[in-house]
Amino acid sequence: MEPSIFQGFQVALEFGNFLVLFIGVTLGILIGALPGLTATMGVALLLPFTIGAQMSAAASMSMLIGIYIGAIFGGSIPAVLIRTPGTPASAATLMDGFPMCQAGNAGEALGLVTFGSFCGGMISCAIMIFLSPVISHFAERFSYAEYFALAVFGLSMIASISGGNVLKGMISGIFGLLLATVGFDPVSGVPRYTFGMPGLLDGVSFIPALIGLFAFSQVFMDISILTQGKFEQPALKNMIPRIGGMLKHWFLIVRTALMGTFVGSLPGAGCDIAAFIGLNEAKRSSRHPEKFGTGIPEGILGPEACKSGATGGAMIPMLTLGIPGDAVTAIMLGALTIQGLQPGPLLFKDHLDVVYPFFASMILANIVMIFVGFVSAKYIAKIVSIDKKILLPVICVLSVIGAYAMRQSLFDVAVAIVMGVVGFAMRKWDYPAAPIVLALILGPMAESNLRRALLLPDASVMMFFTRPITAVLLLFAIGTVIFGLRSSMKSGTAVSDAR
Amino acid sequence: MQKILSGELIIGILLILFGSFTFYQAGVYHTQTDGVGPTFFPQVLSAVLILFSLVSIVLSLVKSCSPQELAESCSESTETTKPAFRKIVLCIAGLIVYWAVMYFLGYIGPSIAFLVFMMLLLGERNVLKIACWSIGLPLLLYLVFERILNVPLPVFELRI
Repeated sequence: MEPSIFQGFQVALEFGNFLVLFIGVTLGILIGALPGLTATMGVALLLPFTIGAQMSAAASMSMLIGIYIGAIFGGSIPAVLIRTPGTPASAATLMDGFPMCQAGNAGEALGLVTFGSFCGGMISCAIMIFLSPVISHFAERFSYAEYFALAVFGLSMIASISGGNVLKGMISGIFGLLLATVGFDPVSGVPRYTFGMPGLLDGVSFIPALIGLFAFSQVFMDISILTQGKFEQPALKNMIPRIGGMLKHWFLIVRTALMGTFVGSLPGAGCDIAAFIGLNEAKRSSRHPEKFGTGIPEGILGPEACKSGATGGAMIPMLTLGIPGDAVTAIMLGALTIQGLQPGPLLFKDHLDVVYPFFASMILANIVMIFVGFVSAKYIAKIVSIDKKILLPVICVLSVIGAYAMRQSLFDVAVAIVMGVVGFAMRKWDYPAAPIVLALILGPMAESNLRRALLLPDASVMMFFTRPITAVLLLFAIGTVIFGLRSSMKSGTAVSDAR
Repeated sequence: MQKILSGELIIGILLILFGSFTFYQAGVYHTQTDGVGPTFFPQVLSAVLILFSLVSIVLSLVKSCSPQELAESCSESTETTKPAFRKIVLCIAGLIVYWAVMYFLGYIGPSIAFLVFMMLLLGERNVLKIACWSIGLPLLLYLVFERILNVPLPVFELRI
């Protein structure tokens, strides 16, 4: 009998498989919530365990999928509560999640994160199940020029995530792009701006920079407020998330989830880029773009749905072509190979008995995630009620360990401290930090793909305007910059009017 | 108001100096490669940074001529008082010492000392709370990272 998705559910719901999935999701949430531990690291750490425990292919994949889904969601918990993104993808959620939390609505903010993640994940699962071959065929048409255009499109979002001051946002973005050039040149291998320091050869490490820019700078700001006696402990209200309010934004959720699935399906792109695309789309389609950054639901649902959408999307090229979409799927590809399976077109032909449980596990992992997320939101939100005199030192130690853990490097801790000082100065003078994050993610992608595209025979700058996909992406980029400038002017006018 | 204006100017000038340095330094990385070499991207970015910084300086000077706009930017920025600034500097110094000492003494001891220092700096005086958090947290993190997740943390070793 031909295997079906129902049989996939039967396998995924077997006690042992479901148990490891549940453990995987819970552990993934913990890993994602710890600054410095990413989804990639979580999956990499648990892979040897699945081999050591001699798990079946279904159980092993259930656990790894659980960790992946859990960690991507979990990264947003500290981002919302203490302005410390657990994973790079959560940096976009922080921009509205943290202000909402500061207003006392921590439970609601966590609920929005959970709901947005769940919807994004489920929609991307549906797309993955029904449209995998079509999307992977389209993704195959992406070459260096298209990736460069995609990076430019991503960078154009700096204009809309800069708050009221696009010029300062642009300066932050360029500063970030310059930081991204530190280390080995991606094409020629020449070390740039390393000044003989081995720690810089691989570039400015992303996680420590993120921790410094957001966590340390927030600690310094809070010390300033606390010392001046202006600090008010946020009163916890709206502890239980309201589904009705979230469903109001269903169209935004569906749209951003679809975008996330597509972005995730492009090898090399991933959740980090998707989250910012989701934020940009939420702002672009909002009737009140000037309210973004003040703690509005769309600012959380957009990036979360898009980010989680990318989780299903990233599986598409891995399963259909055998090409990993990001680092996590590269490890999963290894896990499948260890189990004696070869991802690619033949997997769908010869091993549907593995493919369907895989799909079912993705869906179940999202269901477990929303269950754990909603049940725990009420309790996790209480973190914000911890006395700041205790919480700030705790954040410092967590940040130091988070910066260290990624590469077990004390040099990275120094990077985090330096970036913390830079981030604090930036906040004092109203330079937004988010463009630096975007630039650090997209800078290497833009530079390496531009240069590789221009190295191809018969290459010229004109190809970026004549190839259909690049032309469309560059047009989107121009549109995004114009929209960013317009909404910046609009928010400037709104502030003046309010005064 | 003058403080804000001079701050904008200082940051603008610092950015121009930074951009000039990165532009000059990028020239060192010139290689004989086809297409765009390793100097291209950093030099273009440095030039744009210098340009935008100049625009930022000009805009802040223009702002200084308009008292209303200057008042607006004044109310947007958060003032840091001297005691607050002193505490921030002490926190940064504490972080640097914590980082440096961790190299020799590993993770647990310096973490306990840093937590005690920070809690005292922020005005916490409840000895029981300080003891519980400063000992409990490093041990808990050690357990999670080292024992459960198998992620090594800095350890004490004799370095000569």
